[in-house]
Amino acid sequence: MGGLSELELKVYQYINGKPKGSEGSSIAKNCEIPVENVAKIINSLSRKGLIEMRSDKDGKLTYNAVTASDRKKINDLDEDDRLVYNTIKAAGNEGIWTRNLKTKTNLHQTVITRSLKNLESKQLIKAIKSVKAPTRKIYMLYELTPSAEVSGGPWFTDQELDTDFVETLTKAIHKFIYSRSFPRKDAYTVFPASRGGFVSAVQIHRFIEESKLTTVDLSLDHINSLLDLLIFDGKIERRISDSGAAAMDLNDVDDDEPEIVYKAVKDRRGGGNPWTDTPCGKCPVSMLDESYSVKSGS
Amino acid sequence: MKFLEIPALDVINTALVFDTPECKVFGRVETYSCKVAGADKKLYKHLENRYQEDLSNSPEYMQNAVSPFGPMDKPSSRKTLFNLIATLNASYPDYDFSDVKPEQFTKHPSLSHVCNYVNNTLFNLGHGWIVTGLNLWQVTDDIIELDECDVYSYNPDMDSDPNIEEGAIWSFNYFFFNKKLRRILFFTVRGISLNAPMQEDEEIDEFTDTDSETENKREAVSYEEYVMGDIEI
Repeated sequence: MGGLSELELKVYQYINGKPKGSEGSSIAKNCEIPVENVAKIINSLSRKGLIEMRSDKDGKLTYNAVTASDRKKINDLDEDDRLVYNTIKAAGNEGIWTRNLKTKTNLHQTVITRSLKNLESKQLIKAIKSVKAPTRKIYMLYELTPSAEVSGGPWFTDQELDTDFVETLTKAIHKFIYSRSFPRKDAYTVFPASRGGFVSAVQIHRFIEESKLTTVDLSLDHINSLLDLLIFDGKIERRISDSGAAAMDLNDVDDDEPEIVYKAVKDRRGGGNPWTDTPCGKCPVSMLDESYSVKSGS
Repeated sequence: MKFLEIPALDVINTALVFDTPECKVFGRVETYSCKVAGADKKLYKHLENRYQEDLSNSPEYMQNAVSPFGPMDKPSSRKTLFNLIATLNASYPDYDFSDVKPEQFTKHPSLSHVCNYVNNTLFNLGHGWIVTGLNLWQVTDDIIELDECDVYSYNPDMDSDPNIEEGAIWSFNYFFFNKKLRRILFFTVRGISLNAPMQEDEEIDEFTDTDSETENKREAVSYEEYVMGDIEI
């Protein structure tokens, strides 16, 4: 490990001790170095090929030590293999499709197939499946975890959409929203339009977390996807609320900003009556103003 | 699966790539021998493992499971599935069909129906001379003995269809499997919109702009990406 300054050595040993990778802030704290200097040291170490930067599936940046065996494996690669390896590395945790690999490296199909086999046997890369295109051959570096785009996030188990899981969650959310959307006592009444107590996405998120329906970590974005699902199914609706319990509940919401809340929709299929469903056929406004008459084509 | 070079097919394969006023057509006929190579062994093990797993997870369903290849508890049916998947893998090198389910294949009991369908399609595209002039069926019969073959085709859903990814408007594919000869003839044709991005098999026109900057940047795009471009959905 020649040519490293004392500080660089300290940072390298710290990073080496954390096989899962370490963030810039924790490096600064644990090595007692001001944050500005950390960047300089990290750049110098990565130029020497001793550490590398990765972003995990949430987009966080971490630094990992390049093990001595990895370094040897990479140095032993011939030109074509190294080109393929670097192109795959550049694709990060999205991975790269073999066809794009071909266009990017301009190598022939047989060369690429041989390279991929070689790199796979050295455990430098691995093949993964994407939920969006399950038959495509996609490769990424061996150590990386596929991003949520590729693995489907919490909704997919083993490349298949976990419909039961999604259904259980949406049912629970719908029930929760329904319970806050209509007055409890009388089934035929509704709240006045000005009522502010409908639930927001943040409250729904907290409800799901506390209910412990699932061990899977769901973010606010995931909850929003489920809410979209319920809206498209016609079960709930989205409203703007700039007052009321939802806005006052959590301090991270600006009081001036109108907040989005959700209210359940009552199924009116059984409740509509023939008088309201038939169009009236004669527009009353046309009696007042001729330009409003509904003639064919106008 | 070993790809067999058969010169008689070269003429036909060249003829199967052409333009019509409505679409660009890309077809090919490939012959494979069912010789088991190294990678094939891995595929076979993968399929057998999957079958055993399915068997242990839902035994009653699997015992009665009938696939287009016959009852799945017969090893010969599984061998047929293996051969078809291996052919797909060999014919589409950028794809991996190892997880395709048997239900995504169909068996065609009547050879004459299949030939009629192909003939009609080619005639309607104005290239019926491939059948009559180049003797398509005579040539293929010499290679694979059509009468002794089982005919299958692959019907994937949208995510798993390599033809759809390239923007195909229509396509067909047939596997002519001769068990005795241990050979498969794979015949596939697809029709692509005139506005679709460049295909892999397409010849680059000598007169197109050979600006070196743009030429190498042509990345393979799926039809969806081509149409939607940079629009974020």
